[in-house]
Amino acid sequence: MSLLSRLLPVSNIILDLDVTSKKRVFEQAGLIFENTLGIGRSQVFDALFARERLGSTGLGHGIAIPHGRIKGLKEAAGAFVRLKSPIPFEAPDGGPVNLVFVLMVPEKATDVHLQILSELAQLFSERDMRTALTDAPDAATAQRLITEWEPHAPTQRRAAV
Amino acid sequence: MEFWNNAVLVGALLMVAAILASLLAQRTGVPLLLVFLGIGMLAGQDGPGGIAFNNFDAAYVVGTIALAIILLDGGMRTRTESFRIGLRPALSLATFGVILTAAIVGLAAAWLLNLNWLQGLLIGAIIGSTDAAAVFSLLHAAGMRLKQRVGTTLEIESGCNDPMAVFLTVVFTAALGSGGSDLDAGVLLQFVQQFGLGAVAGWIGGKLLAGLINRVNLTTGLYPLLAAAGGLSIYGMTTVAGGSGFLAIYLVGLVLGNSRLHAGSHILRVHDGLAWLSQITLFLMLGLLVTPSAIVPMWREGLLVALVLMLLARPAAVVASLLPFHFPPREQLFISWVGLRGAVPIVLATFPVLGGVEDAQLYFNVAFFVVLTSLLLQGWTVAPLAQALRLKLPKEHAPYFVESLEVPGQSELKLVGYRVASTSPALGRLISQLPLPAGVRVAAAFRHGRQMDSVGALDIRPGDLLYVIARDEDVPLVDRLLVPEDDAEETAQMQYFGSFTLRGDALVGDVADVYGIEVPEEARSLTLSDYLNRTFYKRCVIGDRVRLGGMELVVREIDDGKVLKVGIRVI
Repeated sequence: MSLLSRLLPVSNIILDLDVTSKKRVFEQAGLIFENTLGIGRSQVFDALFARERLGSTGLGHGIAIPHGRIKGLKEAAGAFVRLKSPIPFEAPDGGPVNLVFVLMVPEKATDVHLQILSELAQLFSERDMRTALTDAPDAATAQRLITEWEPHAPTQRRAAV
Repeated sequence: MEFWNNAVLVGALLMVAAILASLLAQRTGVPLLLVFLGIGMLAGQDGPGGIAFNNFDAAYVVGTIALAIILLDGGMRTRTESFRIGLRPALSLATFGVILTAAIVGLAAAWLLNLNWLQGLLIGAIIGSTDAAAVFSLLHAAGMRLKQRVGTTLEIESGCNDPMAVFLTVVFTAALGSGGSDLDAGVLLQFVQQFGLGAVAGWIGGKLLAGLINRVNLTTGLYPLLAAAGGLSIYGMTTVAGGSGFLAIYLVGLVLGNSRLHAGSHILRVHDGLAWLSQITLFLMLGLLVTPSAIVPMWREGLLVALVLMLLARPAAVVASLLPFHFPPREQLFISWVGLRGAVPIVLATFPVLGGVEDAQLYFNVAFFVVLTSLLLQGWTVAPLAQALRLKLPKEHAPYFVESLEVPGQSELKLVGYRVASTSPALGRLISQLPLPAGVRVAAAFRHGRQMDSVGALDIRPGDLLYVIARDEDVPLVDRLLVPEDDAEETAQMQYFGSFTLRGDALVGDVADVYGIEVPEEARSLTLSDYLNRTFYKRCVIGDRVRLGGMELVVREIDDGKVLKVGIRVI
C-alpha cells in the first residue's frame, strides 16, 4: 500500500477547473482546504507561493506538485485539480501544466512527508497514470486511480522528493 | 617484394580482425585495448600466428608517432572551459603525482626484484604515467558521462603526465646506460628544459598552426592532414630541440580544439579515425612485440609490482597530489582506480632496450605485465565502479545528428537533425507554432524520404525528419521540444537528481523553512549556489550532492561556476 492511500478524499478533487494562472489554482486549493479541513485559505496560498518562489514545482509532462507546510494541520492532506486547459507553470520542460496535485503537510515535518512527495513524483512519472488521470470521467475514478496505486519497487520509493 | 606483400596482407587482416573485435568488446565490456593487445599476442611469436617481431627500433618509431597522434586528438577534445575545474588538480597529479608513484613503485620493485635503487626507479618511471589512449577510450566509451571534476581531471592528467614519465625514464636510462648508478646534477636543468620548451613550443606552435589552417585555401580533405602533419612537425621540432614533444603536441591539440577552425568539425572527425588507427596499430604492435613465454615465468614479480602500483603507489600519489583541492573521498577513490596503464609504459620500456641497458628485457617484461594487469583489472571495472560511486551522470536526451556549420563571422552554429517519434512533445503542432528560441530556424523537413516544400505550415507527424539551425547554447532548448521522451532515461534522471528542482539563487534559510529542516544559522543567508560552492571549494560540478535534513541537494545545472538549478532527492 502506498502512503497516498489515505491522503485524498473525493471532496478534494476538482476536475476540469477553468482557470488561466498558477495564482488562481492556488486560490482554488486554498478554498478546498478551507472547506474540508478548516484552515485559512490565505495560509495555504502563502505556503504554496513561498515554495514556488524557490523554484517551480512543475515536473514536466504537464504535472505540478505544489506543496507547503501549514501550522495547526494534524495530518498530511492532498488535493487534486485537473485543469480544463493547460496553464504556464515555468516547468523544467517548458511545457504548460494540466494536472496539479497540491500537498499540505503539518508544520512538524518528518521524513514521511518527503516520502509522500517522492511517491507522488513517482506516480505521475508513469505515462499510463498520466493518461488515465487526464481521461478520468469523474472525481471518484481519479481518486481510485491515485489511492489504489502501488509503488513498484522498494528501491524506487527512494526516487525523489 | 614477396615478403612485403605478405606483410601488407597480414597487417591488413590483423587490422580488420581488431576492428571487428571491437564489437565483441562492446557486447562483453572487455576493455577494447586489451582486445587489440590480445589479437597482437595471438598473431605473435608464441601464438598460433607465430610472427616473430622483435624490432624495437620500429616499435619505438611507430609507438611514438601513434602516441603523438592520440595526444593530439585528446587535446582537441579537451575543452578549456573545463580548466576551471580540472587543470590544477590534473597538473599536480601529472607532475608531483608521477614522481611519487614512480618513487614508491621504484623502491618496492628494487626490493621485490632484487635490483639496485636506480634500476628500481627506472621501472617506477616506466610505469609512472597513466595512459592517454586507455583513459580517453574508457571515458569516451559510449554513454559514459562522468561527473566533470573527475572526468576532466583524469583526462587532462593523462594528457599531461607522459612528459614527466618520459623525462624520468630518459634520465634513469641514461644513468644506467653510462654504467653509473647515480644521477648527475644536470637533471634539474634538463627537467626545466623539457617542460619549458614543450609548453612554449606547443602553445606557440598551436597558435601558428591554427592561423595557417585558417589562412590557406585547401581541398576540405587536406585540412585534417595539415593538422596532423603540423602537429607532428611541432612534436619533432620540440623533441629535436630537447623539449618534451608529447607535452607540445597535446598543447597543439588543445589550442586547435579550442580555436575556431576552418573545417573544424571535419578535422575532428578525421582525427577521431586517426586516433583509432593509432590505438589499434600501437596495441597490435605491442602485442606482437612481446614474447609471452618470456613473461610468464615473471608473473609473481610482475603481479606484485602491479599490485603495489594499483593499491599503494597510485592511491598514495592521488591523495597527496589532490590534498590542496579537497576532492570528495569517493572521487579520490575513483581517480586512484582509474590510473590506467597502457601503451606509454610499453613504449617507454623500449628505451632501455634501445639504450643498451643491462637486463633491459626485464624492464620490458615487467612493464608489459603491469599494463596487462592494469587493463584487465582496472579497465574492466571502471564503468561499474563509476556507477556504484554515483559518479556517472544519467544520459541526456540527444538529437541523432549534429554538425557544426561553417559560417564566416558567425558564432558557433549547429545543424541539428531530429527524428520525430510517436511520443515527441511537438507532435501535432505546426512548425511555425513551435515555441523555438529567437534565431532558431527549421531549415528543412523530410517525410517518407521526400523533402517538404513549405516547412512552416507542416504539422509534425511521427517519422518526420527535421533539420534545425541553432546557436550552440540553444540546442538543449530545441532538444526539449523535439527529442522523443524516453521513460527509462527519465526514471534514471529522476533517481539521480530527484524530481523537484530549486533555483540556485534561492536562500538556504528559505528552503529550510519550507521543508522544516534545521540548518546552521550562518548558512541561512547564503544562496544555494554559494552554499554548494562553499561546500565543494569553488569547484562545484553537476552531480555534486550534499545532505540537508532528510533530503539531498543535487547540483543539476551550472553555468560558469554558478549553480542554476538544484534537484531535491529524498534519502
